[in-house]
Amino acid sequence: MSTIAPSPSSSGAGAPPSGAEGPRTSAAAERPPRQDALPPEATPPLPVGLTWGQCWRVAGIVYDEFTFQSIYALKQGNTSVLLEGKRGEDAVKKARTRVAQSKGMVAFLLFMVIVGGAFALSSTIFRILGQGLPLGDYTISVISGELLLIFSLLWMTGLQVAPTLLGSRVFPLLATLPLTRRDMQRIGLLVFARIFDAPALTALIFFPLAVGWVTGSVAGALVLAVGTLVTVVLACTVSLVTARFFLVRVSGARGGRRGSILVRWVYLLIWSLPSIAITAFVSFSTEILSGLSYWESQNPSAFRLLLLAYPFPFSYLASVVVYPSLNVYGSLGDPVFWAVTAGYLLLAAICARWLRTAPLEMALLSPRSSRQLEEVTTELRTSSPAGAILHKDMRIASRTPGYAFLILLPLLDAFILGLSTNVSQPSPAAADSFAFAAVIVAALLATFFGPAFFATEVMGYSFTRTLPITRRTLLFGKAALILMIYVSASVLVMALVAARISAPLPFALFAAAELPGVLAAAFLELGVLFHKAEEKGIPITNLYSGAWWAMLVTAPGMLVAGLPLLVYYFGERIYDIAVALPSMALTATVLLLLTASWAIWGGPRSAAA
Amino acid sequence: MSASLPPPLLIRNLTVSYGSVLAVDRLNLTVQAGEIYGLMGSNGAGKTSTMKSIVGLVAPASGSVRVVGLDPAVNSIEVKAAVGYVPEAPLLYDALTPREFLEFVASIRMLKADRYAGLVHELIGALQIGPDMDRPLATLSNGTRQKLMLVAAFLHRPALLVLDEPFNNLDPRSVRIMKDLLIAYVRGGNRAALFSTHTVEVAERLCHRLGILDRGKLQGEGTLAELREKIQRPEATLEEVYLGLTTEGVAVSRAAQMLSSRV
Repeated sequence: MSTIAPSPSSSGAGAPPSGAEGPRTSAAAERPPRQDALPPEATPPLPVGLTWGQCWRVAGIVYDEFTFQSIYALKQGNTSVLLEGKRGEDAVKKARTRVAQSKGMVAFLLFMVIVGGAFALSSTIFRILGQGLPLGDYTISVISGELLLIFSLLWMTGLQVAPTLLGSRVFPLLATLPLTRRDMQRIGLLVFARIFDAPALTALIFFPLAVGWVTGSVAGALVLAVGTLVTVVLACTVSLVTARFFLVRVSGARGGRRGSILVRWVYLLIWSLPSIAITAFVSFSTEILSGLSYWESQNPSAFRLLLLAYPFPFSYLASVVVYPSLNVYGSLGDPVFWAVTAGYLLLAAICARWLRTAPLEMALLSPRSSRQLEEVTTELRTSSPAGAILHKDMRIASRTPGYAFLILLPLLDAFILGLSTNVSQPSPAAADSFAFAAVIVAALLATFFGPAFFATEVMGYSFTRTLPITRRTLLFGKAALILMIYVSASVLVMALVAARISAPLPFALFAAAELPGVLAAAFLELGVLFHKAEEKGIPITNLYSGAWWAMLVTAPGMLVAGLPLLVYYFGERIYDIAVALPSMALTATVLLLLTASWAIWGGPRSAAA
Repeated sequence: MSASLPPPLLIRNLTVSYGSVLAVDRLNLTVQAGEIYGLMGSNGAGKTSTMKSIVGLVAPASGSVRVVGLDPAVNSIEVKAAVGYVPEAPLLYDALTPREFLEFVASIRMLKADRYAGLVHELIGALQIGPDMDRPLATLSNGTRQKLMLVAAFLHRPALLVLDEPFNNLDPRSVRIMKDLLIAYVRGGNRAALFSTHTVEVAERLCHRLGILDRGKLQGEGTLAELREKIQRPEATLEEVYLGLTTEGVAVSRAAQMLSSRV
């Protein structure tokens, strides 16, 4: 751990600091008179303003503490780090490494997106992806898409981490130290900035460079540097605002009232927006470009209005700088365009100024509702033990965006695929293919994300380990959640595409036949996780730290979920659907029997259940 | 108590260690039915480690623990069903409300509504946590969370209550209520409570017997009179007994000397 060197000016005992504010000064004024009976002692020096370097070092300590709390979920009752008898330094080092890995992964993903986007600006890719758009419009669209992706990825990162930071209580602890408010605000800013440092720097450095390199335009790179900076500042601001919103409206929202869970899920949809934006842009980029092309040809004046919406002004400016001859809209002579662009710059400046103090001030705000609550009933509703596990996970997910995302993404994906099948009016054969594909995706996504819910057992760990929860109860509860995700997504797809597909019954049977396959995959994945946890005596996976374990078990899980689908694929091609469907159902059922038997009765036996 | 029934808690030669750190050293302890047994000791004396080994949170390095005659390592589920536990820190599911948390615990313990409904209503009323029933735990004070843990521990009327510093965050009114409830709870004769505390007054008024732990070892055990006898000071207060049996008495005098010096 780093330490803070004493400020040279702090040696002057008792001298009030020039930049000192608030409580410190008043505390000095209200200090009780020294008792004559005691010997004269050296009065501890009053604090003075820290330098940015000193704030950086304190921020490092605070960030380490935040990291440590988040990774090991200590505040949520996980005592595994203590039970393992690890040395404290090792545990801190491990927490640092895991956070660095996570940030590195996001930065790498962003780098790939940036490089991919920059290469999309090359003439070769333009010929393939152009979709009839003029080069200028294509350039504007690609750069805008890239800026939106940067915004979405940073926002998504912030959404996952910022609420934890605001709720971690590291800042209230800081408030008890003799630091000025300004120093605390600086420290808060630096800690907050550390959440985004690697991804934000990747965007700020590599995006302008990559575009400048591909287009050969230094001026274009400079314009994009400004556009990227605005994007980063706005993404950080939105992350912080939505984090606070989450703490008040989702995490701190009352339960028990009818519809309150539904309202929380609606709020949690906001959390999915960045990922939807990323998914939609990556999956439907050609359709988006095609739509823009159609729009531009049909209604150029409306397209011009689009240039006023963020982030188009920056991409338009970059496009004009790179290709001056393609300034078809003549917006450079339009005062409204310049006013709007200046407005975005001003907004970014205001946001940057706000961010200087906001991380600390928001963290110090109480998450409590000020409303007095009326006396309520003490009635409890119980369920089966496995049902209680399922209920608990759903309730936790409804107040934890990271977990809600795991449920919402397969559902939203099913919704998007189902809706696109519904509205695009494809041929019956194509609609059948889309619908089947949607169910397959739902099965695989449920299988992929489901195991991460094992991590909820880290929370409340020390208490729940003292409850009589059997292996079977836990496995059934967790598998039920995975099954629920799959069934909900399948029903959603069926409802949306029912009118479009030629053979609804085989489609429904297909979805039903895959059901045991999904369940089999769930039992395999959860069985591996559970046996490993029993061996080690601790829950081995944590959403933020031990995600590797969940990722590792998804590979065999997806293989199991995919096997019935392969049987159907080959059965349908070699024979017909009458053979393919029963074969698929049989395969799925056999797999279910095998994996469920192993998960419930196989593996190591331990009292650490 | 019937002679044929095993005691609620029987600990023999229990040793707990974390790496090279010895937390509990060959501890022997028995809690009889109808008894409130208090474990006293300073921070790090081994109280929490002892309690965690009873509820299965820590695996003993050696020795044995029997809860109503059952080995937690072999009959894990049965032991957990027989114990009500309040941990030292009220670390729970922050995303749940008290109602949701109690519903979870009652469901896991497969309790019938007619068994717990009246008890829950009375406990929640007495501890005044009714208005907080639908607020997320993350927004509640440590005191309210502690009260909730106590309600959860009583919910299934366990044979053995294991309470680790149960009154830490409670206001004086709630402490008084909990003391009365604990006394009433074990009065029937077939239940017992083991609890740890730093508070001499609570231990003195509440416990039938006391165990004084120091650096993992049981330095003394018995009623207050028996402990006074052990230090051969019949008029000693519990505080004096405690300091007399542990190494802390010496350390306290040294620290007091340092504070009063003019250096």
